[in-house]
Amino acid sequence: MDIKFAKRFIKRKSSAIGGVIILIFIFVAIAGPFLCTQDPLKIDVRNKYQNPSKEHWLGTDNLGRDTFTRLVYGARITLFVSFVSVLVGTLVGVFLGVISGYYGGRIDTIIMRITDILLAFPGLLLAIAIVAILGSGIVNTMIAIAFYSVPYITRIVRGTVISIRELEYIQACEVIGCSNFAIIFYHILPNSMSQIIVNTTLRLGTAILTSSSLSFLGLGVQPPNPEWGAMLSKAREAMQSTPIAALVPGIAITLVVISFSMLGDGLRDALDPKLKNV
Amino acid sequence: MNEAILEIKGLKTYFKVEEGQVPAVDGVDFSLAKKETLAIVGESGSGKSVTALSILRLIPKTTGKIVAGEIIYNGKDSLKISEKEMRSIRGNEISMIFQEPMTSLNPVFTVGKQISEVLTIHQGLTRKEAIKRAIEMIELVGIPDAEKCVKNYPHQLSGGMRQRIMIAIALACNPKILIADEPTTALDVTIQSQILKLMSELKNKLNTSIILITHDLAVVAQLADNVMVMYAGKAVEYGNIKSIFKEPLHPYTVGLLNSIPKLDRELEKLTIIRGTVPSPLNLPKGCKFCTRCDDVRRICFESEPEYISLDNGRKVRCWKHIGAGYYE
Amino acid sequence: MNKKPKELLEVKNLKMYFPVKSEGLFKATKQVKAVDGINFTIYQGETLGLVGESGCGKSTTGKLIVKLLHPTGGNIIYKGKDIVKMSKKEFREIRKEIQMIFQDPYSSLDPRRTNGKTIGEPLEANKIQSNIKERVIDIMKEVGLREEFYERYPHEFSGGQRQRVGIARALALNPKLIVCDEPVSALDVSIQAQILNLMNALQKKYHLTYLFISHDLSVIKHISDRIAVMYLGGIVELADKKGLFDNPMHPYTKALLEAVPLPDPENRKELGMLKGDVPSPIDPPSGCTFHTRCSQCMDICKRTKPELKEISRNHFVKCYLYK
Repeated sequence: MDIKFAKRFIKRKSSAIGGVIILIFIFVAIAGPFLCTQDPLKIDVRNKYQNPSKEHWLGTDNLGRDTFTRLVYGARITLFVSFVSVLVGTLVGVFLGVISGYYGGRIDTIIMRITDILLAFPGLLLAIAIVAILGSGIVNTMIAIAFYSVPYITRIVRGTVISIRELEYIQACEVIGCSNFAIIFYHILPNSMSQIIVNTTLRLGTAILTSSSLSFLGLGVQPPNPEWGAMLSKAREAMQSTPIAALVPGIAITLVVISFSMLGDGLRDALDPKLKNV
Repeated sequence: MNEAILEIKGLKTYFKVEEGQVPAVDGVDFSLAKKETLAIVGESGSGKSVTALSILRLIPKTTGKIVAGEIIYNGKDSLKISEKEMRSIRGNEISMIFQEPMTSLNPVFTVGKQISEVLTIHQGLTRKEAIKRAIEMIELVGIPDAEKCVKNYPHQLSGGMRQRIMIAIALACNPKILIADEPTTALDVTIQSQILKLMSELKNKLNTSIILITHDLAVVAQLADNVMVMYAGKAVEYGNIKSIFKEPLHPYTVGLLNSIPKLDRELEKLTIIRGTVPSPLNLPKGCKFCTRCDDVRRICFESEPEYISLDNGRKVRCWKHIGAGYYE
Repeated sequence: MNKKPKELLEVKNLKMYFPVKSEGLFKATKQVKAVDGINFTIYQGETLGLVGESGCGKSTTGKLIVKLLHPTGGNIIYKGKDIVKMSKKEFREIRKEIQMIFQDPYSSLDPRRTNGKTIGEPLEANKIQSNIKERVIDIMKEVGLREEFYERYPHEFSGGQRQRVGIARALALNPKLIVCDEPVSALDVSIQAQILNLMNALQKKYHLTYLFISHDLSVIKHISDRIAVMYLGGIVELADKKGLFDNPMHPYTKALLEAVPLPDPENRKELGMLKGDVPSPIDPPSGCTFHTRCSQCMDICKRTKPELKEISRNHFVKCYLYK
């Protein structure tokens, strides 16, 4: 069954490309810093906004720091922020979605109304509001992103749980004497996994965009940390003279976000048995 | 009665799936005469529904293709005519009704609109004329209070009534051929009885030929004139209804008849057909039934028997009976 | 064997009403009267067939007996104790003795679990830890599944084989009573016969008691000892097999038997004898629920509900035509 899935997945070129780019991104984030020769924080103001050269492959930024090195180190920050926050958001969302979908009744109503209220706010606005309350910085950025991921995941998981809960094999579990815990952990969650994975992957793209946006606005990761959004924001002032300083982080963000989207789409199509023969 | 209005020759419809190619219909021949009711019988995977869809060229293009054969209707091979010409036949001269009336009727239109749609498209009636005729059709299919019913939506009607509406839509243009794909399988037995009665009356009233597709041999016994039995995409037996039931020739037909729990007979242990239907991706080399046949011989594993005609109008595809007839 | 049969389960005045979404703040909430006061007994070792058309309440009755649903009213007495009133804890032991076989072989097995895990799950769930695999393989052999199917997944099998897995699962806890909810309805005719034969054999070997629910009269006739006919939430006739088929009394039973087409082209029946549709269970007819379609309807039938009375030996009918 898993070989068929892999074949279906690779068949869609976009998802395969997306997957490859993400893998490169992860590799760069983990191994990159060990391969870089320069210091991302080393300031050399005399050489600010240099174009690409042998010494600085992608040029320098406003304080003469090597853009390429900062790109590589920035990948690590981006990866860390987005993965951790989405992971936390997913865990909370799955928990709430399962409780809401499985038990129904009043607790379902309460959770869904809160979710509806949160979903009414545009995600970025919500993130900004949270950061404004908690203050800026890496940890608060992650909290903000996790927080606004929760309602999306909750809603999707609840829907999946409700559709599975009515199936005969769940009724069979009740008849043989399974506890609610066993039913949720051994039956409902495994069968919801594909939905959860797909949506988590798609949220990762959104998370990266949000974290970059927050840093761009000066609210997220603070300097001197090499966060891509912050790099983009600062490099705007040199758009006329040294456009590459802004292009590099901008393209990097775009590429990674699109890749996560394609990856998520590809996963969803590959895991959906109804689309098997399209 | 004996003039053929539809002739199928060598029909082959194949489907493409991940794992390979599925020969859903693999060389089927039969003909349908005026006012005849032909039943195509088989279990799931036999290819009977695909045969029906092929006649109306309703095979989804993304996965399936009619790769060979001729469907002679009105003197022309309907596999070769244009889509436009085919559309003027569908719903007009050859109609179809399906198993699930809830999903075959459009939930957002009134039943009156759905019946009149066929009339405005094919017979060029105005909306007013079409609604009037729709009310007549609703009465014809035995629904009381037709003037009220014409304004109802499908979800307001019971399963039996929806199936009657489907029949009304199918017969509105007085087609020559009605294809009924498991028309009563999803209905309760008392409602099924009503629908079978309706179909029986209408076919006589309107002189329609019917192709009845079903796995239910009892329904076949009530309604059909002739029967064609299908297995793994091929026709394995054909004959007049009474002689098929009295003297089934192909071991599959024999097995089918013996495995029905009958209301009027007491059987201590039902006789079964051992084994299961082979996967269409992995069909046996010789006769497709060889792995389950109790009468099997060596030749059955090695080569596929031809579909031969016997004297009394019977046809069978079986090595056991090859000596008895001539080859088509 | 002239011993009086032992009672295993008794159902008294069982009711199940489902609320329907109310139409407005001030309109009273309507109810679907799925099961409306039924009474019957199941004796040890027998197969009681429960037959009826869609909406009659037979599946709901099955679910009430295995406690997938909590009844709106009435009692279910198993081995002398009322299980309706029991707490979850009290019922836990009894649960092992009452099991269920489901209708749809495609959705009654968890697609992500191997057959072995599915059949062994009742043992795990009830903390019977020793030798689970051995026991599972034993049961698999009993239902005709080869040992190598242990590691395989449901989607690799046909409907008939999956249904065998479902039967194996129901047997795992050595139950006394098995509620079979349309177990062969979703299967091809030639496979139905295999499964019915298997169920018969298992019943004899393990002294099982079956409540066999089906809409198919021919299947019911083949497997049941006694049969209850349901219509719109109530039992209209209850008799042993011979009595019901040789001498059907209730007009609905007669109509039902009449409507079943026979695979005999020489003797074509007259069709469509029972006219009209089943009334809605939200608004059932007054008096006898069948009176709107009954050709022998009398005045009293419209006013008062008849009782299920024993008319001849072991033959109960709910109809004013009989005294």
